[in-house]
Amino acid sequence: MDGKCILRMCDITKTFPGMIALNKVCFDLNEGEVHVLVGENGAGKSTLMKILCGVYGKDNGKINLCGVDVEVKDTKHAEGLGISMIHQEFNLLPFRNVAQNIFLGREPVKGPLKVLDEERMHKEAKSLLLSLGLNLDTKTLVKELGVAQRQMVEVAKALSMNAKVLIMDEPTATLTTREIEQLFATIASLTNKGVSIVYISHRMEEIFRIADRITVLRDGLFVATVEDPSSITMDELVAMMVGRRIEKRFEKPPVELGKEVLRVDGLSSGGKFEDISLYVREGEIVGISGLVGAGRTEVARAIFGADPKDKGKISLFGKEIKAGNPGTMVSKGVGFVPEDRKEQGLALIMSVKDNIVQASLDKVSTGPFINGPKEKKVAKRYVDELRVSTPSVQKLAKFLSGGTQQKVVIAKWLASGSRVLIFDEPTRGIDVGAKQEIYKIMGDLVKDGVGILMISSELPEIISVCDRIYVMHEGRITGEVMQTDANQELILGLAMGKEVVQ
Amino acid sequence: MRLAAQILKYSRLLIIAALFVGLTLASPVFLTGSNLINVVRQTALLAVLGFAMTLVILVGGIDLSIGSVLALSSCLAASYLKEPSTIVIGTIICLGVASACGFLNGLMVAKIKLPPFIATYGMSWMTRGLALVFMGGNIVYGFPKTFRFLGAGYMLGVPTPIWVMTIAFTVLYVVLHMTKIGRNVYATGANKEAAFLSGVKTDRVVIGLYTMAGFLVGLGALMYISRLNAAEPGIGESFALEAIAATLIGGTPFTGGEGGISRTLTGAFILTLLSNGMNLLGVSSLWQSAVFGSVIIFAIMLERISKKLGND
Amino acid sequence: MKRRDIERTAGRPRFRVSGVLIAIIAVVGVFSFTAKGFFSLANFANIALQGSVLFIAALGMTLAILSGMIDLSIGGVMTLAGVITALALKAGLPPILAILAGLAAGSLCGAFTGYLVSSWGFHHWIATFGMMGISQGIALVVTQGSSVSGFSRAFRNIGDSTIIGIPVPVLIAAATFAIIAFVLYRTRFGSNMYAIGGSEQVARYSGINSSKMKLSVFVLTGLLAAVAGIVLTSRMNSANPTAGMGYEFDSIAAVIIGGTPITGGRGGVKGTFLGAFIISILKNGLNLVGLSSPWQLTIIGAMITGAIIVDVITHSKR
Repeated sequence: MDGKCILRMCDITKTFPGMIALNKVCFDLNEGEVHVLVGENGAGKSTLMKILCGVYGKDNGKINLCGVDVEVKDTKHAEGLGISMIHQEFNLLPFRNVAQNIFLGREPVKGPLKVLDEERMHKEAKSLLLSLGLNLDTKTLVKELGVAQRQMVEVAKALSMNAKVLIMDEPTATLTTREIEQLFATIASLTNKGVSIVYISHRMEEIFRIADRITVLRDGLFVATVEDPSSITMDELVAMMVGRRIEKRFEKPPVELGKEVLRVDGLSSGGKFEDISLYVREGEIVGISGLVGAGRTEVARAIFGADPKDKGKISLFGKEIKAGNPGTMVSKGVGFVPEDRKEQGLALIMSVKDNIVQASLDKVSTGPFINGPKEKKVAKRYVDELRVSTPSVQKLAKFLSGGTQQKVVIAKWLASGSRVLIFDEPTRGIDVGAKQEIYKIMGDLVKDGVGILMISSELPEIISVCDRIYVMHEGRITGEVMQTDANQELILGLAMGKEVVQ
Repeated sequence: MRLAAQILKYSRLLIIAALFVGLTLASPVFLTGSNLINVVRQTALLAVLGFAMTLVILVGGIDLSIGSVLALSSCLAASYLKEPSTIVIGTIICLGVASACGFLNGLMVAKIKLPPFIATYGMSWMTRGLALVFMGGNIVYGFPKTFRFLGAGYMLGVPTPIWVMTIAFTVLYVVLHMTKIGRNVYATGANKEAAFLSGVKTDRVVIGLYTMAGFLVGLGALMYISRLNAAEPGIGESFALEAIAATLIGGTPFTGGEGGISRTLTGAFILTLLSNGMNLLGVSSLWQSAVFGSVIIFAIMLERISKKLGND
Repeated sequence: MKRRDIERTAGRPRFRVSGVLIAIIAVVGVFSFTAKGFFSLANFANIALQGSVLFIAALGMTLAILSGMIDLSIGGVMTLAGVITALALKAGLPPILAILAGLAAGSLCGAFTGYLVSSWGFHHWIATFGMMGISQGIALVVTQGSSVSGFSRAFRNIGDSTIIGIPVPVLIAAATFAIIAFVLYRTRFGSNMYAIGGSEQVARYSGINSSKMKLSVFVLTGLLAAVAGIVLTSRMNSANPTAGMGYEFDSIAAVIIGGTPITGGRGGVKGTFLGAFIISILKNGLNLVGLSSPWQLTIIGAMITGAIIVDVITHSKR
């Protein structure tokens, strides 16, 4: 397997506004190897690969392909260089057939009229698929295919462009066991032909099964490349991923835990998550940890009534809520700070004041009429309380910084007097100072007896903030960890589906 | 750049001023009392229809059916409106039918999730057809004085349509800008998902707005046939075009959540000045639909440019 | 596994088309009994004649819809192209030049709409709605609101003569269909239309220039509307400044009933043939049973709205 090195990425640096995504990261790839790239959410794996295939430009560093330095301009250019990426969301047209998708935009044509050469297209598509061990009718519409077959079509598309480097971003995330076997067989046959594969994955067992080498990233930094995966254990790998960071980010004020405010029993929603049971007590901060795609946000939305549920019971303050929708949940004292502030949390073209009072219009109104001065007073009060940095409450939300916007969303739920608050990634994309302020707000809330359910992908955050942590893996809760027992290795292990003997 | 942005900001006032100066110079009739009263009276009807359009545009919708719904509701109510004793019933029928059509539009948009222009376009053909069927080629004309008062009469020396428009404007203005309902309307238009997650029943808001738009169209129908002194199924062909033009040139953008009926009032005034001016200058009324179509496109371009300048 | 996949793929469109066929047979059957003179050669020729104009216009609408857009200006553009051709003939231009003038007018309208959509980012339907007003308006202005009629024999031949027993409009429709089907099914350009309709993002990733595509699609729909408008003018021996009104609506109906959903990215012109056919039969039959055109408006309006509702519901369930 030890081929020659065909790709070398050196000192790659990439910054996004407010954060360093990659800091002098190095990565190399040998001919015909499967090189697994691992790291926590936000470690920089996807960013690195997106730079390689031309989605992002890099700030600094060098990419050397087969001994030549290259500047990858865009995805088209990358494909020309033989670098293709298979995305988690597929880039296929569901209502076009397999061959049409493989050759989209590059269909073979013949004659002076440039008529599509369907025969050649299907023949070539067929032989590409056969070389992947897939005997599929190339006239089948893509929407009729299963996820695994779609993936094969993507691979075939990459091969049709003579890909030498194939990047697979969590290719097994939605596959069944049998389909995974199929994919691994394909990968083996590809590497035999000399194709090199960069494989991003979170699943421990498969990492060890297929990796020729493993590179670990953490917080945008290169940690190590393991030349011989059999020389390390899973625990050692997890330890490399989480590092030895001991930082207490937040001291939760001592709070007497009270009655149960939220209880969820056996909540299921077809294909998204199954049999979720959890509870939150007064004054408690409960975390839901897990990797991206584990179904955490879906659970939160279902609890809040934003999405329908198939099965299960939701109770608030000991009383079951029958048909929940956000309207009733809000009136019963539940608030939801969604993951995507701009798309779901705020009306960007409305003022800070309007956003803050949106969920508590009843409180600032006399009959049907909004009481202007009262509304302003309430908005001002929470602006002061949360130290929202805005020149005036009339400022439009779109002109505020990310952290300030998040405070406005939280202010909305404080104003409405929520007793149960669901936070979905409350500190994502927010600078360190603002993060601290948000933790402090959460601390003040629980002191008042509010119960908090918080989703976070950042392990140090969830461990230092939460009293109790549920860990989800592929739509199920795989463990419940008390803060005192929590460490990053344990939680990451659960999140990656590692069996834990308790 | 700065200057350009400022000019665009006040472009509506500039347009009105330019039209006023230009028309005064070009036509001796323009600046006479009777002509100005005429302009204001015509503005009233267009404004009411424009308000209807503005309501649905505020939540990112559109209503292409207003002309046909206006025709259908007038035709169904006309025979009752003709008898002094049944005017009340006629009025109720007219407003009721139009509101019901609006309600159906709202259902199709909010619940079945049809694209608004498709749903209301289908509605426009169905209602136009029904109006034609119902009238069977006949025309109802010659309404009693009590009904004609609405479109052609005067109250305290001011034409009645202006009173009607002013009342509609006031009520809508109060609801949109001073009540919870109004706030929920803007929140839904600005970001439907965020409003939904704040507990706003966004589907109800959308259906309510289409229904209200229908009601306003019914009101417009009463004003129009009362002025026209006749009801026939072919009326109002160009009203959707005009109402959209009035809304957009007034400065309520398509994207929803911004703008409002006071802007539409300005827009309706601009359009009426424009067509009045064309009239006075002897430009054939055949030009109208081409002009309104161009106004729509011009208005959107204006908005795009000012957004671009605003972001720099 | 493989076999079942193929059957499933093939199954649905066939069902869809056969559904329309059954509808056609049912409609023909009902009218054969209820409408005097429906089941006659003369009447079928009449249906084919009427259907040709609609079919040509609907071909353009099909391209727009499967590219993920809609063109509400088709009726207005038809009118305008017909009127321009008529005025050119009246001005003494030879028929061929007059026709070219009409075609140019249609393409220009389409190009302007396309420019608004691709360069200014207009919503496709508001751009075409504005164009509907403009084209309709210009047609009214240039004709002073009245019909232009009475053309030379040479021009009228397009609408009312036959070649080997087949009416010329039908031949024109067939030829147009053949060309459009070729472009759609046998060229990269056609394949790209499906791509931008299916997902603009996927299309862009595959290196397809989507704004250029949109512009071209609107030019094509404008051109096809012009062809339809000119054939109509010749057949009527008159260009009426409201002649095209409603054709955009009938075209949408034909396209949707023909199995091209408004969501874009699939369908095709073959189904549109059946869709246009069924609408023409329906209109003809309703006429013959004495249901006036207002009833037709209502019934067809309800039908298209119903068809779209069914379409949207079935696709949102996926």
